[in-house]
This record gives sequence, C-alpha cells and structure tokens, in this order.
Amino acid sequence: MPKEREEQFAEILNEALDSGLLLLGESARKAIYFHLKKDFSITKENAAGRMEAFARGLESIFGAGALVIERSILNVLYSKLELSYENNEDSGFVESLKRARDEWLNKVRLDVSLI
Amino acid sequence: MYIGCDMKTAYWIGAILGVSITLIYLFQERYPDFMNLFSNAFPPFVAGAAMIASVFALMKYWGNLGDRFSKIWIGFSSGMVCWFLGELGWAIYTLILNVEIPYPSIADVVWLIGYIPLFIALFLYVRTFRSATSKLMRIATDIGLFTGSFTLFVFFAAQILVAPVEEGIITLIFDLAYPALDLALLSLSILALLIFAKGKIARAWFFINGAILMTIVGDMLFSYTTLQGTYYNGHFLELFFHWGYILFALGFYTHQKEL
Repeated sequence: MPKEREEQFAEILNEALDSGLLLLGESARKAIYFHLKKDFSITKENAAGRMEAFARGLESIFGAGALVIERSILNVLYSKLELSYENNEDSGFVESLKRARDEWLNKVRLDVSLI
Repeated sequence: MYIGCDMKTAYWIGAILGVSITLIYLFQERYPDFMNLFSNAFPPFVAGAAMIASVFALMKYWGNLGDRFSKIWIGFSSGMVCWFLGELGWAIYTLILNVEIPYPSIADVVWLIGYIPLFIALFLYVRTFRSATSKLMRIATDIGLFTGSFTLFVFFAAQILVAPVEEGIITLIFDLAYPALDLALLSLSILALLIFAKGKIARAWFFINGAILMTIVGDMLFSYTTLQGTYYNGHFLELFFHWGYILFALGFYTHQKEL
C-alpha cells in the first residue's frame, strides 16, 4: 500500500512539475526540459525521483529566479493534493516537496482509517 | 530548434566586428568620403543584426499569444524592428534625400515608438520573476536609478539653460526623451541581471544591460553634441550605438542558446 501511494505521489508530482514549468509558456518549458536533460540527465519522466538535481538544474538556468518557478510548481502540487500551501521563505523547494508528501500521505491514511 | 552558430563563434564575431568598426572610426581622417557613407549606411546593418537575433529568439519561444515568453519576445522583436526602421529612416534622409543631420525627424518618432514594446517586454520579464528579488535589492536599484536620473536632469537642465535660442522646444524634448527612456529600460534590465546573476541566462542579461548602457551614453552624447552644434556624421559617439546593437544581438542570441 505505501509503495502504491508513493507511486501515486510521484505521478501527481510529475504532473505538477509539468504544469508549474508552463509559467513561461510551452516553448520555454520544452527549452527547460532540454537543458535539464543535457546538463543533469533529468527527463520529464524521471524528474519526480530526482528533485534535488531538478532544483539544482533550475537554479543553474535562472539563478535566484528559479525560486519563482519552484513556487509555481509547489502551488500546482498543493492544489492537486488538496492541501493548503503556505509560502514559507525559510524552507527550500525539496523540503517543501517532502512536507507535501508527508502531509498528503498522512491525509490519505486518515481518510482510509475513517472509511 | 537549432538556430545559428555556437556561442564562442558568436562572441568572436561580435568582438571582431566591434574592434573593426572602432578602427574604422579611429582612422577616419584618411577617408572622409567613405566615412560619411559608412556612418550613415552601416547602422541599418548592425541594427538589422540585433533585430534578426530578436526574431530568432521569438521564433524559438513562440507558442501562442497567451504564453508569457511569446508576449515578451514579441515586445523585444517589435522594439528592435522599430529601431532598425529608425536607422533605415536616418540612412534614407542622409544618403538619398541629402539631409545632413535629420534630427529630429520621422526616424526619431519610430525610434521612440520602439521604446514602448521594449519597455513592456522588460516589464513582463521582470514582473514574472520580481518576487525572487529581495527588498534590499529593489531599494539599491531604486537608489541607483534615482541618482542616475537626477544627474541626467541636472546635466540637461544646465544644457537647456545655455542652449541657443534657435534650438526648438521639440528638439529639446527629443534630447531629453532618449536618455530618460533609456534609463527606464535600464531600471528593469538591471533588476533582471540581479535576479538571474547566478544562472546561465545572466550572460544574456549582462549583454542586454551593456547594450542599454551603451545606448544611454550614445544618446546623452548625441543630445549634448547636437545642442552644442558639434555633431557630424562619423562622430566617435556613433560607436556607442554600434557597440550597443552588437551587444543587443549577442544578448538575444545568448538568451536563445542558454534557454
């Protein structure tokens, strides 16, 4: 069961990454994926499993501007997971993703136990 | 989509072009007739190069009109098209209509119109990433720009006070409009450079900021020399405009290569 949930989360995260990267438009998203693949071997399919490298890749392209794209991804992710997103300046992107995953897994567990 | 050569080649082409035109201006006393032709005929080519670089970037980033990057690059390209048409207009005035210094003219109106899409493009770009800037960064930029604007105002106020009576009010408005609009562009491009400082696209913003700085210096010197009546075709100040266009071309090209 937990493995199934992890896979489900990875799928939702992949969708969130894809939607979040649309911030600048479709062509820019393709360009970002191209550079992530070229420099960090990150593809659309394996991105969810390599979040630290993904964050480094974004920063290598946009510098501090990566923060805005990360927030866009987190916004989509939290909304897909039906969790409330609070923009916390202190916690990093990967940390926020881990928190989202934990919160969602807890929520799902609670929902199952209530049924 | 792969467009053009690799970055190293592009930088070499830019550097060789920049040095070559500097040498042409340095030794202009040996070929005054050629210099008059070069001074008026070359700008549409170098502005055309910047325009083509921006159109290449637009082609790369174009998705649909709703995409942010599509809007941004339409802005950059439209601005560069206007500046190219401005340069072409100047060349037509001087080389075909035999107007020695066509300032102000319709060409200036086209140039000034070009600032609008350029400003919108920079504004949209920076607004997208503005939340990544710290308050301190924004305050520092504002202080820098205020100091620059104030210096510019004092410089021009002093010039206007001593300007010859025959200098029309329209000329003075144009004299002031160019550097003021350049500063407006710089206020946004500096923020972009600070935001992307540690990223790959910082290189593109470095060139774009350099281009705007060159244009500011060129415009200020042009306004000053026309007010003083010391401007002539082939004046060294034209180099700043040429270097500016080369840097714009490199900036747009680098952007579409790095992202």
